Amino acid sequence: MHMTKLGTLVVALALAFSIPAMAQETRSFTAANGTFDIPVAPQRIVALNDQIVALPLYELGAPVVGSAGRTDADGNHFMRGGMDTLGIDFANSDIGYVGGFNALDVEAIAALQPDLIIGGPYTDAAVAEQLQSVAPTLIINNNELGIIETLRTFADITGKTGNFEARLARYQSNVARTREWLETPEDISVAMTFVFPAGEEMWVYKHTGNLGAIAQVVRDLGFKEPAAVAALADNETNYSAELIQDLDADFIFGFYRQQPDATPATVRAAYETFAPGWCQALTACQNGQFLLLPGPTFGPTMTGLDLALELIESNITARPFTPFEE
Amino acid sequence: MSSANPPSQFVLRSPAERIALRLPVRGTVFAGLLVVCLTLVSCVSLATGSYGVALSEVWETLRGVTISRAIDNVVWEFRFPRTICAALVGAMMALSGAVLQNATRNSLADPSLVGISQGAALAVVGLTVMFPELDTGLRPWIAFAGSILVAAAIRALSHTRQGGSTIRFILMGIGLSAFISSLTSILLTYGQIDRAMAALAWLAGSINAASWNDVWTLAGWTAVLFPALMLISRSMSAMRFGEAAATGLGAPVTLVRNMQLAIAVGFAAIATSVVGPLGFVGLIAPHAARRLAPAGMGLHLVLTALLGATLVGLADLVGRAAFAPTQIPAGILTSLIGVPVFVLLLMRSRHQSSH
Repeated sequence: MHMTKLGTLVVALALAFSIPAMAQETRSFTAANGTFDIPVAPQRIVALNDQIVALPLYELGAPVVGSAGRTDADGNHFMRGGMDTLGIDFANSDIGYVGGFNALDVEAIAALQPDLIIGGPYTDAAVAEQLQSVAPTLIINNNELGIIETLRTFADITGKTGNFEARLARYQSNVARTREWLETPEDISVAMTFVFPAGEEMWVYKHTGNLGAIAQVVRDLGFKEPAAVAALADNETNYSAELIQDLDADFIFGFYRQQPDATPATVRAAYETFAPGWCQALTACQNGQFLLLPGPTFGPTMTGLDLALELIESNITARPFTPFEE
Repeated sequence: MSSANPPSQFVLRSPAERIALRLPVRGTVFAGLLVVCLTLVSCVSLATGSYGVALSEVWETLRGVTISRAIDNVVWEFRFPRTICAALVGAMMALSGAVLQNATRNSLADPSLVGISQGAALAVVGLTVMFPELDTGLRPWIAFAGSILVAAAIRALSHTRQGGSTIRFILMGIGLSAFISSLTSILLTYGQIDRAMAALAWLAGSINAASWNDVWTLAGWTAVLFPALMLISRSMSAMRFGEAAATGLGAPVTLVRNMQLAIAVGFAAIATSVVGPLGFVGLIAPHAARRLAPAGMGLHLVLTALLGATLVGLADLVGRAAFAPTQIPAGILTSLIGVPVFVLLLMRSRHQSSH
């Protein structure tokens, strides 16, 4: 009996010592902030941005133990787009809150004992440098990589490449199907805008911009931009109310932030505040082809891409629409 | 023993009595109390945080005993430099305010009110947004250049044939500060969003990424600027009565005037470059020091520095621990305390001028 207990103890100790040994197996990885030795199979990842890093990692099945997040008016912490896209939040997952994405609590991160930390372009370079003493801290610049390459990079880092490539292939096959149904998508013009409920300003995004999954799907389907948008120097621009008619297109996608104060009704009112009579100036709006879309749902995840594709397919492919005539 | 009133001051003498230092009792006692307060705030700061470390473990770690690599890291790399940075930045901003108030003979002068902090902020935001590839080690120099340019511009604009006018200096500073803040907003609005976000975090005045490099930068500049300030402190006392009176008292007025401006700008620029603008510390600390104890210029500056260090140390501690892991930048807390104090001071000065 004692021998059995002793044997169990020996096996348990051997296992206990073998886990750190396995965790220490590393490989070299080059990120935007340098080359680091990272675990081959990370077991405890902290994400320094919720929507850009934590959600894609979680979706891939990576072990995310902590993430930056946001705080609502009631003081509750949440991951932007987490509930909308993947049905997760700090309250219903094992992911711990480690501060705002631009006000990180480095001690809370250290307390989670991560073996890998991943941030994005919004991460303060000084904080990322400080966190190198806790675990390898990689900055993945999703703005430069774009959604697909960013997701591929996350898959590579976490050893989930197989899952990702299978899901990407399915998405690409669905894109091909939708393009086929659209017949000549390159003849359909699409403009993309964003306003806050206050209606003080309006942002316009080029198709090459970084407006989450929807911009990627618009690019993949091959829609064209209105001439005024194509002529913009930057990918995202604060636009003049006086020129709102220049945005007219077959379809206009108006994004909004999902918060208690940002409902479709308040956002439509915000457009009216920004440019009174805007709907009369836009044939897309007159023809019911101005679509309000909840922005955070279409974050940079495969689920976001699938949702955005379905939405475009159901709104453009599956029904007749009135073409915009210049 | 005499039963007369207790002495209001005492004199420290060197062994050969070549140097003597006269110190008021009340001011010296308060300086001692402030040292105790600052030490207490620093100790609590070292023992408090999201990473659970027992007080005894913090003590052991500070004594050089390694309990674990993680605790070593948290105490030595996160908490210690942060605590020292908060104290140094607070002292520097407070001294900058005290010197500016003396130079302009206006009790409302503060580096963040007359545009000096904004000059540093514009320079650093411009660097972050337009040249993100440049080394962040250049920040102190760029911030210093921004501040000195703004200070020179205010001085040039406020100069009249009759000489420098303090009220013009303040008003020009407020105007220029608004103009510079607009330029900073334009950079943030039209710059790339990720670069703007990085600059925004810094603009909130946060000490969360303080490192030993920052400590050396702040300590190095303090080691140069503080002795220089103490050297001119006697002449600064004379300048309180106006330049004509100071000249009559034998003070090198032009040299002291220029040195005051350079030192005030230097303190504000270096502190801002490391943690971002910390509003109102330079306004509150000199006033509070004056209320605590009447003292000569030298001791007043020491009290001001200790108060500033304690205030920012406390703001940083509360900001990072009260709602952890939610982090509130120290700059927001100093402004929360500073704005009511500023309003009170304005009301008091209006009250006094109406009598």
